[in-house]
Amino acid sequence: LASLVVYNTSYGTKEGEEEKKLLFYHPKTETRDKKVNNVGLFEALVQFTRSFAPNSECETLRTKFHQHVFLHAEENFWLVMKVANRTSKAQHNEFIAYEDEMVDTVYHEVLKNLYETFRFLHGTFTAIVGNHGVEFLREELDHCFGQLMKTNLSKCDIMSVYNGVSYLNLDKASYIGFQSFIFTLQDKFKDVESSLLMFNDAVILSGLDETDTKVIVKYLKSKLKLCLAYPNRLHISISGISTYMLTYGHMVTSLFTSKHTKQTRRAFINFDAPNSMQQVEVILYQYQSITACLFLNKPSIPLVDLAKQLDAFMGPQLKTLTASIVDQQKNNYDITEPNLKHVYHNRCSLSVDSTCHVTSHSGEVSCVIPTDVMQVVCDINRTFSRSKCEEHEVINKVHNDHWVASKRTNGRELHVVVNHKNANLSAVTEEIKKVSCHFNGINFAE
Amino acid sequence: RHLSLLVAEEEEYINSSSWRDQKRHFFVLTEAGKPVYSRHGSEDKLSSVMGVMLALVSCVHDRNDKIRSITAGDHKFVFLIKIPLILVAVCSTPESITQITVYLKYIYNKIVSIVTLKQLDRIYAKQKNFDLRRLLTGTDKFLDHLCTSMDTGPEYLLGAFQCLPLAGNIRDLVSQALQLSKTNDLAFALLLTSGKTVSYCRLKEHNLHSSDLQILINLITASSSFHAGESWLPICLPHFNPQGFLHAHISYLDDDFQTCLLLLSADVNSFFTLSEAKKRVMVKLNKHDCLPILKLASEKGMYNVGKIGLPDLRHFIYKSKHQSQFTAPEFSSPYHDVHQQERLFGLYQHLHGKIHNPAIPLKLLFEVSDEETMLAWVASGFELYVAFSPLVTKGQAISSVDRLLRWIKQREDELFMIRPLVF
Repeated sequence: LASLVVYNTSYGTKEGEEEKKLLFYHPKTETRDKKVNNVGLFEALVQFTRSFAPNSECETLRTKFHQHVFLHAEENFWLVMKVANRTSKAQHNEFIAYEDEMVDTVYHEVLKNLYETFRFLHGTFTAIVGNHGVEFLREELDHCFGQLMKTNLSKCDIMSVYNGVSYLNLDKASYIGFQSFIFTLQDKFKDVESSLLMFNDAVILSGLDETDTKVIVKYLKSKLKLCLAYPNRLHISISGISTYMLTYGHMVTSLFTSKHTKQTRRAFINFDAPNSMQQVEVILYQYQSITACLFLNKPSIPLVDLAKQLDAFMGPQLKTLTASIVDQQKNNYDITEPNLKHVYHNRCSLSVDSTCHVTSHSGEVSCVIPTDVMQVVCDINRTFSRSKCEEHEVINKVHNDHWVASKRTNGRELHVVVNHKNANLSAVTEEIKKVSCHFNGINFAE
Repeated sequence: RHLSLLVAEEEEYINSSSWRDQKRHFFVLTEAGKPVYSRHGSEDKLSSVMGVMLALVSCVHDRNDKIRSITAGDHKFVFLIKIPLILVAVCSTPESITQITVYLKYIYNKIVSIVTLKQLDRIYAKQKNFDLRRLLTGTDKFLDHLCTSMDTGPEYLLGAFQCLPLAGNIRDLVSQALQLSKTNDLAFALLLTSGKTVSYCRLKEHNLHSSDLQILINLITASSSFHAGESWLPICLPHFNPQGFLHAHISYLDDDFQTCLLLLSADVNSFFTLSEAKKRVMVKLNKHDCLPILKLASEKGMYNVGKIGLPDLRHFIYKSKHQSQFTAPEFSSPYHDVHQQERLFGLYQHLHGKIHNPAIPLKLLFEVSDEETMLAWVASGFELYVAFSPLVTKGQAISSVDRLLRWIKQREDELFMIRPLVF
């Protein structure tokens, strides 16, 4: 990541006042002139593309050494991220720098997620400016983006695009058990508006809409991964997270705080439904491997007291329910087929499943297939998302040993990576079936 | 006051959707911002648009970088900087950025073919704000024609040319006739029928690059001004030598302007020598009655894909890598209207772009969508792009491809120029 800029086109429109447009600029060490110049260039680019494509937004600018990704987050508010091209061969070969055309979507999603996480924690830019003024927004951005920017871009791939969540595999009875637990809870504690339940890093159930679920789960995973990896040491405060011990479980208190307002545990949800953005307070409760995220609308009693009451109710119930979680085996096909890997995504449920990635004990996710093969997967995803037909199938032979077979049908996407020496199309078709048969309704053409 | 009226007029023009919504815009300007060429609309009216383009180029240049492309939705803005010229494409079509860059290079080469690189560099070293249109007077139609043929021409996409299908022995006779045109400074002799290559003969040490050949074909097919008698014209072939001109002797050999002979010499004074050479070629061609045969072959046109007898096969393009030549059948059902043909070409562009992705080239691509099943395959000697009906099974597709390759192999002699001669 070379730089990240947030600006508003409607500020500082007078000559000499351009600096007012800037809301956030990384790196801070850049001179004032350069900052202003860059924003000028971005505005010119946006204008220029609009003169030909009035209905689309400027998305990327690619130069010999860099790539800029644009996001029109809210009216007049733009985020621009600048990334160095991955290859150093750019100087020698004119074409090689275009490699990153394939990862366009990946960067775009990373930037979007950055914005959505900010919005989840602080609310929309427009609302912040409306309630607290521009200077306040600058401070919030400084504080929050500094934290969020630590994403390692070279590790971002198809998983950042899907940004999905993995669901816990539960038998029907246990699932209904959890469901009725939440119903009872929300009935008993009227302040609890909605809730999200997780087991380690897998979602059990979520009462929120898709975007919110996506953002919250990702945020929790990034913040809590250490806790999740060592479930028995949860009471110890790790990496700046402080907890409040209760009788059964404990409450995580240091997330969802704003440096300035000192208002604790608040968040903003419900962006997808127009005009229904909501400010809520959050109680993050953990009991063994279960994390419950409870969203409260104007609670009538102090959160700590409420947490105590909740703990007394939830603790014993969760104890019984956790015991019923037995099987966590996600990959339900024969894992003795080491030459087969897959990535699966369901756009509606957000569910993802990948055997192309492994999670280490420290919570690091890494990709186990070659980088270029993963780039092909990202590229096919891009083809799919731009294609007009709902049913689409692509099979690629990448180099001698790797094939990528991808199918999109009814909002679900399955990519199968086959590593098979000297295979041909028919042999690969047979191999794919071994995987696709585990995904109901995804059938590759004969 | 007059000026402000002009500016308003210009603005109105740029904002008109009929201009803006064109699918492929190409612009050429100089590094001083002088308009040189615009595919759509008169470049006079586009000085502000070109001014913005120049500003973007120099803005990025100031940051010690070089602008390549911008994307916005389906629109791609591609820049090719060849100082003193700047070429820009604005496309809302399925090509990849790499492919659009190749198209810009064709346009650049076309301009070089008219003025030579040497002249271009010399002029702009002296006078930065020179108006290049003064040198390009009357050549807009060639650039327009080039842009139009690039819209649907596989030759530009593949960097290959297509021969007129012809019995091998006739083509050999034509080649021998061309060989007879040899004079001291002759570089190339080329025979075209209906804009398709019949054969050419070249100097042993110089290959005729397919992009240079395309420039010659473009010259002939874009204009009827060569119909009258024998023409004499300087032309630069950028791959052969970007610095200097060759001199082309151009003449039609028949009365209905089907078959055209081009003789390219390095000697500016060789018009009459080449006129004599042309007569020698004519004698040989007439002796074997070649011209009527060529005419017949061109009337027959390409072949129909039904002839191959593969029911699921709808269309294909086969490129022989060694010869830089390709063959494709004429369009048949369901590709009978222009809209469908453009759609099919878009699919070919898509396949070609993916399979030749400079970062990760693929070996094989098989794509099933609602309207057809497409296959692209790059092997050591050839590239094949096939459109099947959407219901074809993979097994059927594989066996069809096998039979198609055999069919092409059997007709290699007819579809390709495989025994080119040298002087």
